[in-house]
Amino acid sequence: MNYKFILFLCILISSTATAQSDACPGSDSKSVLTREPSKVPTTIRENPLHPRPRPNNNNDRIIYWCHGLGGDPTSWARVGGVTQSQSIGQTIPGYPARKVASLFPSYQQFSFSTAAADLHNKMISMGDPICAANGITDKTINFAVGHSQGGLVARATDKMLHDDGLESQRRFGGIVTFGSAHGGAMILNNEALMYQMGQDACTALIAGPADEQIQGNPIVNFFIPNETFQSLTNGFCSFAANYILPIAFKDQQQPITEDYKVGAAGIGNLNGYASALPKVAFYGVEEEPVFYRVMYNLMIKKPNDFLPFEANPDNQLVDVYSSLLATYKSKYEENKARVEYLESIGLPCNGFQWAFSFAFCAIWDTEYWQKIDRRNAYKKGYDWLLGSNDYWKTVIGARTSSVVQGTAYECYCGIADGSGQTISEWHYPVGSPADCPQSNDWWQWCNASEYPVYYTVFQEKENDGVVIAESAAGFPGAPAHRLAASNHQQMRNDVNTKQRMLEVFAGTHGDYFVTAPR
Amino acid sequence: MKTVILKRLAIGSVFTLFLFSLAFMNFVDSTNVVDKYRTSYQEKIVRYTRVAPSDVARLSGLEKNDLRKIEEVRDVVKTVDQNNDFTTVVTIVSTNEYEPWVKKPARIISDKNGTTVYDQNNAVLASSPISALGRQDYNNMKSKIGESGLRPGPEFPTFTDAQMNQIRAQGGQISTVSGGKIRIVKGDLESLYDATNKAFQITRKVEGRISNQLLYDYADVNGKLTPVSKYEKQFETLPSGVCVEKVTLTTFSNYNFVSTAR
Repeated sequence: MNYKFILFLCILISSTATAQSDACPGSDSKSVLTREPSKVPTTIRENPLHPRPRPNNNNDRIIYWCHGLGGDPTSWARVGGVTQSQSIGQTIPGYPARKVASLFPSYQQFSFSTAAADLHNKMISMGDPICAANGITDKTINFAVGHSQGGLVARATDKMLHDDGLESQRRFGGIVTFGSAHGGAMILNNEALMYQMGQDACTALIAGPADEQIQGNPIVNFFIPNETFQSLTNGFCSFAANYILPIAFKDQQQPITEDYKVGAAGIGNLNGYASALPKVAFYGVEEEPVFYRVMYNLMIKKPNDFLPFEANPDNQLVDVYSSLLATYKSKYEENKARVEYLESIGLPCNGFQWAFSFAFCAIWDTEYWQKIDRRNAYKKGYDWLLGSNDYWKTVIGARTSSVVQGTAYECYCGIADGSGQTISEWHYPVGSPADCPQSNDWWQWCNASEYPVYYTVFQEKENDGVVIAESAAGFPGAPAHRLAASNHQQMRNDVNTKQRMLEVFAGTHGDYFVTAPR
Repeated sequence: MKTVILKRLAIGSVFTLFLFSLAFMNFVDSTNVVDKYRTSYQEKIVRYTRVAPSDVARLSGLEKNDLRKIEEVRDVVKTVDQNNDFTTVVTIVSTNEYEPWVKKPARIISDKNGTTVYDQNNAVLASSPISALGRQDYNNMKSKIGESGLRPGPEFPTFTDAQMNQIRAQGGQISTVSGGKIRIVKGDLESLYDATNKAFQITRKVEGRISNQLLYDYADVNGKLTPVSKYEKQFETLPSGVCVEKVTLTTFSNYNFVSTAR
């Protein structure tokens, strides 16, 4: 078992403790079934190219490469570096350096307004000397390229100067965004769900190995009852969710994130401003499983760990996942088979054997119930792994559900005691009434009926593993273009980044951006 | 002369021993060993979750993902050899459990060395060697199989008054309910025993709450007791506080049980 991977998942994400309810088992329950998710195509608003012509400039123009949430000036270092210059012998095939000066400003991440003010000041302090040296008098020939939050902060800077009547002070005249959540980032709204997912991962993946460990250690077993161990596990996972993960994901708790939660006033105000600048938005559509692909580039190998434009492979965690899933499957099946062998030697005692000796049955049955518990414990981990990619898509807002009531056939069987009280009942879905063995005695019945059933209907939206495509494409007034198979992290340094930046410099997304090779 | 005879005897003995060895090797060749027990069947497993309608709105976004109805058909072959070593081979015939991008398990073999999961191309997806506890369990079960033998299901004799009194004498509650069924309650376990229909249900409580309920149903097919279905309910309180009933319904077909045990 790859415990490091489990630990990784535990630390990765993670609050409510598992509550026991006196109402469990409840009554009057009905089937809730799900339908296959329907895929929602990404709606892209068609926007024309900006008419501003190619700037008349022979010297290097500035590109302000703006990092995203939790990033720093190194975030764009690979691409920004080779765009400005390439040393002899280390050229990038098909990507000549351009006549640009790459600057990597950082900014305060308290709110859109403080970030915008800070970014503007950095542009002045870092960019003005270069403009002076390069003889650039019209500073709007420089433009900004922003990844994720960086694109939003560039937009906020533009808006701030417009709102303050200081447009003439703007140090840039165009904006290119990669994976910016123009429609807001649902992952920020769903922080609690993300922690819940982490805690669920922790309890589910630990359950099987813990059960085996504790039953395999008679001393631990003697001193710590299984229920206590379960509550300790829940406690650990709750601790991980509430204290460890916030540290791991501290950037997500930056105050600025309040401004671009879905529905936040900050992002609403930004989208209410119609910027007149040339602009283009690129959005990623990652392949499945998006969770394991984006986590690889978030946690294992970051985009800048690759050479320029080579952050393309993202399959490593997918392979680890497959192996771990099959391992949990093997442990589940092993214990399932053992439960069945015990049934074939006559366990559990069926009531009749109790007449001979409850004590004897209790000893034999203990082993049976232990196997059932262990089988179920491994099943819990297996089920979590099966659902993990869907959980993540729910957290980032790419998978939403609604519950609708429909009808289906269910076979409802039961047994009553002498007073007519139901003492056993079971329900199962059937395709048609004929599939239900009909009997209708007062004490034992089986009826098929058309039954109200609640369906959970899922809708899935294209996404880059963090931001849904619709949001990243939603830069008002900007043409939007897809980065196929790029996740939120990769898009800073993969083959799509190269292709799209080549298009930008060639004027495909507006003549304003045309920049000659060096 | 004596030496020659002795030499010939010795050579003859060695040759005879060699022939015996060959014969013995052939005899113990595992492919020729008749299994002590061999069980084969097809099982259809349907798994789904039941929730009270009033609780549907309380489910979290994550929890709704778990409400899928899974249907899986599997061919199962279980063998126990003359040493009571047992092996299970499961071949997945059809399933809707996996997303298209998952490497799908197709065959699972579980034996004395551990469990291996293969894909449809017979490539190993995972191999779990038997753990220390697993080995201990395995050996315990092996002894039990040796002592008790295997059978397709339990016998369903009718309770006598004396046997009912024995239940009471041990502190159990026993009563006859409708249709001749017997209800027995003792501690955290409750059994509903139906000799007529060859079925029984066990309800298990943990910390005073029902945690599992299993209903086993058998039938006489061509004069042989044969499992028909197993209906298993597991009650669980989700993090949202909603109580759900996780149901696993297994139905068996083409059930074949062969025993060569004396």
